[in-house]
Amino acid sequence: MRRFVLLSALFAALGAAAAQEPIVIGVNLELSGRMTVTGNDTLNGIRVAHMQQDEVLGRPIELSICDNASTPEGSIACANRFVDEGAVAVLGTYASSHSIPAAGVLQDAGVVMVSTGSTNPATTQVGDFIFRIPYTDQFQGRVAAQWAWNEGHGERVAIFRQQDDDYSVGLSGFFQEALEEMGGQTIVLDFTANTVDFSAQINDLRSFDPTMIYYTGFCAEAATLIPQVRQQGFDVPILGGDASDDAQCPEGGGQAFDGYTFTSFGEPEVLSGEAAERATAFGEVYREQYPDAGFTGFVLAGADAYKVVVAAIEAAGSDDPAAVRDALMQLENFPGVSGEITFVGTDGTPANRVMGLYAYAVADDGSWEKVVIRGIQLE
Amino acid sequence: MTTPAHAATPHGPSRRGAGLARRLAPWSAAAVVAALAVWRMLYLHGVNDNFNAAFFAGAVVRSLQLGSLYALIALGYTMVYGIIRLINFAHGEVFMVGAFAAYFLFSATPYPWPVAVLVAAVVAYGFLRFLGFFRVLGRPVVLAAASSCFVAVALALASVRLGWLGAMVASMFVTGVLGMAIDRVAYKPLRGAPRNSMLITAIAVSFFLQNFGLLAFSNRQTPFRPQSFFTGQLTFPVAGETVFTTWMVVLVPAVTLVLVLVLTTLVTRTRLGRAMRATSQDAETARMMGVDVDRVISSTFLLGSMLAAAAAVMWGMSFGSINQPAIFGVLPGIKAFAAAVIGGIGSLPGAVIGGVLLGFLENFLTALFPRVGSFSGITEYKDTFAFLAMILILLLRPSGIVGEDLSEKV
Amino acid sequence: MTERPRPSGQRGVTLRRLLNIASAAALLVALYLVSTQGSVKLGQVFALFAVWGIATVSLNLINGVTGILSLGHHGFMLIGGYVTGLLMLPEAARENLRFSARNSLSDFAIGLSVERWMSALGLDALATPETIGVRFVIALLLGGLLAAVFGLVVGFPSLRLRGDYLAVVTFAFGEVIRLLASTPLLASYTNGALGFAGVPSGFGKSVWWTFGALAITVFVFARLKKGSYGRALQGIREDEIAAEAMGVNVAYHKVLAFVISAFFAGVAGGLWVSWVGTARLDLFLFSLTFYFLVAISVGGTGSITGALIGTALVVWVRQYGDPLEQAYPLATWAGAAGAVLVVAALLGYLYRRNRRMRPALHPLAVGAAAVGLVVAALSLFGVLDEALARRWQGFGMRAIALSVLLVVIMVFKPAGIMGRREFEWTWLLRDARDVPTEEERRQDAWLEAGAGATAPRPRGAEE
Repeated sequence: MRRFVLLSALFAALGAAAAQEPIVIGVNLELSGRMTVTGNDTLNGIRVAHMQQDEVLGRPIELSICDNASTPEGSIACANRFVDEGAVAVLGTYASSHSIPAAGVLQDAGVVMVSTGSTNPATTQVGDFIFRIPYTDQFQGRVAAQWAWNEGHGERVAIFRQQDDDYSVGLSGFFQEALEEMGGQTIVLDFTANTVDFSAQINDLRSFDPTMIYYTGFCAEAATLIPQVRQQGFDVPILGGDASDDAQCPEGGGQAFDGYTFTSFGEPEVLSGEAAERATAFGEVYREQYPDAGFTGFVLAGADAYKVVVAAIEAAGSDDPAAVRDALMQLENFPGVSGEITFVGTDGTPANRVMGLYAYAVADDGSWEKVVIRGIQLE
Repeated sequence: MTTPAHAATPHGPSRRGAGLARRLAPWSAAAVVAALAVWRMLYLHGVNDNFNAAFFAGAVVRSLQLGSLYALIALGYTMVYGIIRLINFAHGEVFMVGAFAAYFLFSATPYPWPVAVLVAAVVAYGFLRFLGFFRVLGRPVVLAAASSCFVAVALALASVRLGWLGAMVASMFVTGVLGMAIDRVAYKPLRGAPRNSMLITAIAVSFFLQNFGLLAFSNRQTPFRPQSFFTGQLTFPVAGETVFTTWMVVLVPAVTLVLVLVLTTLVTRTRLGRAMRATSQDAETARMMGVDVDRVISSTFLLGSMLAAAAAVMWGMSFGSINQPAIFGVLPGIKAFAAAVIGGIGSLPGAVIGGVLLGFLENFLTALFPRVGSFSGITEYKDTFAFLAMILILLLRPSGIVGEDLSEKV
Repeated sequence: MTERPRPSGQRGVTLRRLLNIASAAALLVALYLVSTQGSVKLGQVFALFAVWGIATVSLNLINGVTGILSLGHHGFMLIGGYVTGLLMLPEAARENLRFSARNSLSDFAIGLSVERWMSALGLDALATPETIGVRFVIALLLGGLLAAVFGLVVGFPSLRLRGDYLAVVTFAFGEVIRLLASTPLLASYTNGALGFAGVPSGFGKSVWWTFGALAITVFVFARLKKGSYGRALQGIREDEIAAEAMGVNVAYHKVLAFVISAFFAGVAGGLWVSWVGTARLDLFLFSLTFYFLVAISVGGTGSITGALIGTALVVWVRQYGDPLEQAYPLATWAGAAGAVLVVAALLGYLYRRNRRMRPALHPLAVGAAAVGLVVAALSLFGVLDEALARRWQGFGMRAIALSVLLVVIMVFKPAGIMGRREFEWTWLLRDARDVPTEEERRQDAWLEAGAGATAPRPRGAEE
């Protein structure tokens, strides 16, 4: 009897020791550099989701956070670090131009990657270990083109494109394709990252006489572009992509952003049914943790990336990346906070995503808010 | 002391006729360029009604605005080069610091007392150094002036909300002191060292400031909108059509003009200016004649950096926001340097002419060749104009547009 | 160049040879261990060292040996990288690109593939997956050759310009190449700034490939430096007019230096693209040249050994410096800042003492050291912990550390760690007395004369 007690105590101790060994999940995000704001929003979402569930299979989950400094080189360095740390899965990155190089490393090493923000189709085409939470640019571009055409702005659309960014070029391309199919006319005006003087591009705009402007870049440039467009007397509607879903836009550009419309990740208000309830509940926890931070679609995307990985580890019953990948591929109607997530039969991009249509309302004193217009889906 | 530029200038006595021809050459070249531009404008107007007089008038005023900004930055490069033959790669980053200093000065005032006192100390120090250069005032007068400056600035910072002008002036002093500090810490120990060493050090300082700025200020786009009448919209009619701009197209050239006039007066009329010119011609002889060369160099960095800060405030107000520090100063800095080379590095009028010319190259030229019909325009190539123009100038006429004979070396 | 004392006789030669063989063997064993036993990251860091090492050594031919400050190396690397990337792109990636909305490659450019050429030439043996290594070598060489052509273009201004004017022109060329690559003019070959993903990364990440390329580079440049060509270049650096008078064809040598350097930069670019796995414009920023410049300046301008030491340092800081950028409590940062102040005061003291300035201990330095000591001590004993508990992340600290290091090296030891010397076994074999070179003697004279206040006129100001 005594021996049995001793033995069971020993086993319990061993079990406890095994339970102590954490499961490592890497987080590869833009925590400094150009895309800091979005990167940190996403990280906050992941942290809150981690707080809600910080163990799986009886073992604690450890987040290994790596800053890729918004560079492809940094993104690769992070991916290598996770491989060395024996991570099961990697969450992130936000930008496609950082996701694609990291995906190459992780696919070679056989580590699962779930991108939180990459919308370029090429990302998940890297291999079977690569997944993503958002829709693709193809989807977003079509939705935006449909909106422009149906609202009657689609006759002549000038597209501002950041020529050195995967996301922006991809989105412009798909938008252009879709709109021209419907019968609209487009021109593409290129600029590079960190441009401040857009007068040359606006000169090019003059002869086209646009009925709408579609902006596919990021807020760092939009904050100077949009005021310049308005000051030069163009008062046509402006539509942006999800990169415009960033406080830097209305803060940096001020009044000119009043009425600026954009498509972005689904938020509680545009989701329907149970998804909306889940998102609202998550938002409450989030606000408690981060009262000052923004609650954007990227927060939800980060949380969902974490949640699907944990669910897959649970379903696989092990922390072997290949088993986790297989479990992810079987994922169907997972109750995520950004809507249901289904990976069955896709290339790693969830099926049937809901997007939101939003606008900025900026008051005279510079205070602003993000107005939810409605949910928007492919027709 | 001669520069490579001198060596490459064609010399030898010229006959009277040749002299006249040479004097007329630039004007006739300018006339040809203007005629071509007018012809192109008329052609474009025939193609599309939107390319009317108002369109080109807008392009001209915006080119002038951009060119004035480049000119202000280029002056800093050219002054430092004139004195110590150093391409101050860090000048673009000094420009960046000027912008952020001004941003914090107008957006966060009134300040708590400790901050106000600290900034006031820096400003008063710069003021003190600056007055010291004149040496006409007695020591007690200078000290009294500096301490009253300190008290005034501290009081102002802690109680008043600064407008753009106040922020600009304060930022000019803070940034000027930074310029002097850079010279003292990084360049002064290398006086007389091989020039490559100095250049590499300058590049290192530039990298340091970029990353330090990233650390200290912000790594995101920063709105730069002081309360001002000048950032409001300005519309005026030209030939029956309306030109849409902001009042900045008036303010920027005006500020540049005033600062250039002040600088020219300083260089030509004061003791300090005389010492600067003497140093730029021959530092060693100037030293023997009793010029405090170190002080002259210091003051050059002070003045150049002050102009950069003024340019930074004008830049921020023109475009409404400032980029993250790691990149904000890079492109404007390099382009302004190209402008200085185009104008003739080492020459003050050269820097202004080069800057304005670059403004026209980047803005007016793209307006002359806009996207129309199947022609996709030349906007994508805009950023290379500065470099291509610089390479061309260096290969064809290394002394720049303003040759030696015209220029006033500083 | 002054001959250094060498161990005389056959015995010394044999010993040197033995040592060379032994160290080569040791390196091979080390590489074997790294590639089999080391972590993934370690292997890739080694490979990165070799890739950047090639670039640094080649830049050193222009900067160190010839004495021209070239700032356009990233442009040469870009050309080599894009050529290699495009020629090696797998068929699947080509098909993906062709039908993608982000494609701006022309059909002609998509057809540029070593594999297709080999099939077209009937060399099917070279078009199989097994022989991809051969194709990679061909692509690397072609990339290097195209970069060399641009080296020729950039080299020509060097005949008319000198000094900082030339430095600026090389810089402008480097930037223009990068800016043009994203314009419609070249986008049909570079796919705009996006470049292309899916470049085979097995080569750039393999220590064998990269160290093999590095070994060839070092061999070529060591031969160049030692031979008559290298002596001519050094002659140009020391005194161009005298070299000309001695019958050195200055123009030919200068342009050739650019061409050779650009070729190896192109090869380095190809390997760099392979290391990353994508060809993208933001891999080729000016900061790349800056890091090579740091490596050269720290290691020793003109020395191959020095360039490699410098590269190792830079790569180590860049790859393993992330603890510098983690979030720590402000108290920790304050302590670190205090320590930096103390070190800075110490450096200031050393500087003033070396230059015989009085007082050697400047009051400002004393003050800084005192403040630094107090803050560091307070932080060490945990006094500040409560007041400064907020955590703060020091982004960009790595770059700051490297740029500060560069300034300090420039001020205190402008010739770098190695100077112009190369590593020689004589250092270990016997007490090698270091005979200063002419350049070093001049440097010493300058140091002794005291910089600043009593500095002689800048050298090279009269031309």
